[in-house]
Parts: sequence; structure tokens; C-alpha cells
Amino acid sequence: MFKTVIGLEIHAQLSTPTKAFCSCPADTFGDTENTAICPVCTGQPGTIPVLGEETVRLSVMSALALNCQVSEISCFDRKNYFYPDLPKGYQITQYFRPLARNGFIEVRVGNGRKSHIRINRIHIEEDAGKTIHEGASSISASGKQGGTLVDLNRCGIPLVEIVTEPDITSSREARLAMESIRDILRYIGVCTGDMEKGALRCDANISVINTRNGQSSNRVEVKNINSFRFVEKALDYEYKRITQAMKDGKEVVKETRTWDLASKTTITMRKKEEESDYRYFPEPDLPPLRITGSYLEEVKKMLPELPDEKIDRFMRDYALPEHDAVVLVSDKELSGFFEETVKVTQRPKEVSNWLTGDLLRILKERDMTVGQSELVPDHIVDLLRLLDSRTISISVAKEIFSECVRLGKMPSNIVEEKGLQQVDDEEEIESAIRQAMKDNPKAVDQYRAGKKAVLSYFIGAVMRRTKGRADPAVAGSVARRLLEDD
Amino acid sequence: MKPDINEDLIRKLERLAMISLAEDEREKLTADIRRILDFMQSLDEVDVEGIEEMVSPVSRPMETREEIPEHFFDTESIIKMFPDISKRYLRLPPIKGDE
Ligand SMILES: [Zn+2]
Repeated sequence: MFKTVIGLEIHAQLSTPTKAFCSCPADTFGDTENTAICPVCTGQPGTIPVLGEETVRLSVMSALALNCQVSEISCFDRKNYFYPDLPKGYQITQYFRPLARNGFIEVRVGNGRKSHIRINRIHIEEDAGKTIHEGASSISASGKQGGTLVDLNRCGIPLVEIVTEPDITSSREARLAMESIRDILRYIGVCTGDMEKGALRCDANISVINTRNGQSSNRVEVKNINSFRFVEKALDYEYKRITQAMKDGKEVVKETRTWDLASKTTITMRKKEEESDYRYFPEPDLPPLRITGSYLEEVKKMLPELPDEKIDRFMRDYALPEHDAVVLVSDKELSGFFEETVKVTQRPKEVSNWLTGDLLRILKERDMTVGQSELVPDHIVDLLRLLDSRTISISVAKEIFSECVRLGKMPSNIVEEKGLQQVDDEEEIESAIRQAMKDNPKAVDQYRAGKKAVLSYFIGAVMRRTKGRADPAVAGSVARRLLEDD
Repeated sequence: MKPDINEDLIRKLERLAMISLAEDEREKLTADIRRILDFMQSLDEVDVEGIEEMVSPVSRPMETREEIPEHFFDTESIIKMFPDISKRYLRLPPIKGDE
């Protein structure tokens, strides 16, 4: 038996107005390269970093939301390395005294169970620039071929690094833990959680223990994982690679690997011997950061209800199954919409069915959010009323719902306009069935020979003729009567 | 505990600082570093038992900046310092990308 031990390091970009230590705008995604740069973030001699207040507030909020203890005094340090994405030659980070320690998250792993994942530390640091490696075909202004291009717009953007304890025991749990951290950061509005835009990045450490002999593999680090799917895939791949090596009695090298999109495997980035030495030392240009008790209280008051609490409340107050609560809460807007609707209808499960089923499907097809759709709570209230009074059938209701989302029309108006009232006139249904029996005598014979499943053919025929307006239950009973009578 | 200042360590420091020294410079630097560390060693003689650690020599607490985003007025002068450019990118000789 093998046991997996996984820890995560997550870098989250804080949604601040400016960069961490200068006034350059922080939201530069899609901007022309090297437009959001200044002497501070390009490391010009004689410049001094000044920490932004929103950077502090958002990182403290993150720490509180992840149940951490915020240090009264934390300090900034320099992490030294030479790479062109970092013109200063060092990154400002918090190495010796991080902003916060000892937190935890509760990750829902299904069937009402939660895993307790401890957070070791959270610290503030600045991002580096972006490098693009070009092919030999590109030519520079001075006529040189090939090269590396550097855009420093990102350089100096504030990040929080969140480091978990190695409490995670499977690749799936790693993915769920990451999603849960993303949801929390989104809820409290400190990070967009957008992995495609690099606002959230993840490194994972994995080692495997052979429980028979207690032997543990070396730790392997998988870097630069930029999607939730790849977190799971890269760790699955590593688990297989490491356990295979252990079975074969081979040594698992302590190294840093990266997920390779093309081969769908992990590949070596650098071995232990090549491991850098960052020579951390205190940043002399920044005094210690003091977080007072009253400031903490102030920030605590800004924290909204967190996803985990909200899921519990939805299950308790609305008697929803865990799955419904999780899906609704995973989208803050959607959960707000749900609560608004339930306030009027008091029928949480039915509302949840419409939102987590039809609505999410339609939104996904059209690549929209709830807010971008035309749907308002009154639409659902009206729709439920039409169903209650048996004015419309469920299949017509689904059609109407889709129009509400797209066009924002009131369901009862759509019914009026299009004449979608349910056909409960048995005569109309009867004539539809008689027609179907005439069209397909073979089906009639089959039914009478004992193949009762053919009944669905006749119900289908009625639905087609009435354009879905018939009540399928009525159609079924009428069809049965006619087929058995004649 | 006194670290051993040998040639391997000097070469490692060269590599980390991305400089290359001549042989005589290396010898001079080895001696320098030894002297500096010897001096620092004398701090070990001070009894610090029960004394609270000094976090920073700066007694003023951090003053934060109100975050009002503003584009720097003269980004062109920064771009002008780039040894080579491509559009507005800083352009460098090809680097094997691993970070
Ligand atoms: Zn700047």
C-alpha cells in the first residue's frame, strides 16, 4: 500500500488598484507591453519601495478568511536571483517573518465529509515580469535574430503566497483544496481566481510512503501548474511515476518538475544540485509592518459570509442536499439570486433545480454569467405558478425558461403570445393518438402482442402534435385506454 | 561556528552573483571574507540570554501609501535604456526558459 503526501503553494494576485510598492496600475492584463512601468518597479538606482495600503488590507483579509493568526509584526526580505524578469536582481517577499501563520480550510470531499487542511503560512510578495521565448525567425529593431522578450507590466504586482501543510492525501483532494481556496479568495474579493490570466498559480509537493515498510520517497516539486485539471493530472502522473520507481527499487530523485502540455507528462526542470541559493536577507528599504488589534477588527468586519459557512446554512435553512448547496454557493451571484427567489416562493428545492440544472446549462452554452442573463427572480415565481395551475407542461416550462434567460420576457406573457397553454382536452389528445395508431399499425400490433414499451411512442406522437403542450401523464393514460379497448 | 572559506565557496558565490573573478582577485576576496567573518565572530561573545530580538534597526513603523493608480509620465526614458527592443519589449539574447 502506498500513501500520498501532498502540500500546495498557491500564488494569488491581489486585486489592488496599484502595484505593491509603486503607483503603477496593477490591472494590466491585455495592456501594451511595458506601459505600466516606473523607476521603482524597473529597479532604477536610488528608488525606494512604498507599500500600498490595499495590498496590506487584501492580504490581511486573505489571512483571516483562511483562519490564520496574523502576526503583529511581519517583515520584508530580499530573495536574490538574477533573471531578466526581475530587473532589481531580487524579489521583495516575507521570508523570516511572514504576515500570518497557522490557518486551515475545511475542504468538502463529497458525501457530507470535510477534510481539514492546515495552512502553514501566508506572506506578501511581488510578482516578476513576463518573458517570451521567441523562435529564430523573429528579428529585432537592431536586426538580431531570435531572442527573449521581456514585459515588465506584471513586475511588482502584489501576490499572497499561501503554503499548506502536507495534509493532502490524493490528487483529487489537492484539486478540491485549490478550488476551495480560489472560491474563498473570490468571495472576499481579494483575487479574481482567473488561472488563465495568471491571477492564480499553483506549485505542488508530492512524496509517497510505502505503508508496509514505512519507507518514504524523496519529495518532488511540480511547478507552474496553471489549471485545476492539470493539478489533478500532474499529481496522478507523479504518483504513478514515483510508486513505479519504488516498486522497482529505484531511487526517486529530489527535483523540480513541470507539467508538459504536449506530452501530458511531467518533465524535469532542475535537479537538487542545481537548486538555487536565494541568500535571503532583510529588506533595508522597508520597516517592519505592524498590524494592530483594532486594524484587524476593522478588516474582520469587512469579511462577508464565507463559502463553507454558506453551504452549511443553505443545507440547514433551505433543507437542500449538499450537492445543490455546493453548486449554488460556488457562484456568489447565483447564490444571491437563489436567496432572492426563495424569499418570494419559499420553495427552495424547486428553485434550486431550475438554477443548478437548466440555468447553468444555458449559461454555459452561451458563455454568460447570471448577471449578464435577462433572468429575474419573478420569472421563476411566475413559472412555478403556471406549473402549479397546470397551465403549462414541464416541457413547455423548460422552453419558456430558456426564453426568460435570453429575452427577459415574463413566462405568462410568453404563454399568451404563443398559445402554449397545456392541452388537457382529452378529445384533442385522443385524436392525436388515433392518428398515430393509423400512421403506424405495426406499433399497435406490437403493443397488443405485449410489448408495453411501445406506449412511449404514442406519448411522443402526442407531444409532437401538440408541440409539447400535452400533459404526458394524461397522454399515457388515454393511449393505454385506446390501445387496450379497440 | 566558523564557516570554511575555501575556493569552492568563492566559486559558488561568483556563480550566484553572476560575476567572474581573476585568480588574484579570488585570493584577495577569500582573505577579505575571512577577515570580515572573523570580525563578526566577535559578536558571538555577547551574552544575549533573555534579551528580545531586534526585528529592525528602524524604529519608525511602516507607513503605507494610498493606492491611486497612475501611469509614470516618462516610460519612454526607461524604454530608451533597454539595450535592444522589439516593439516595446526589452529584447535579450535567447535564454533557455525554466522559470
Ligand atoms: Zn512601477
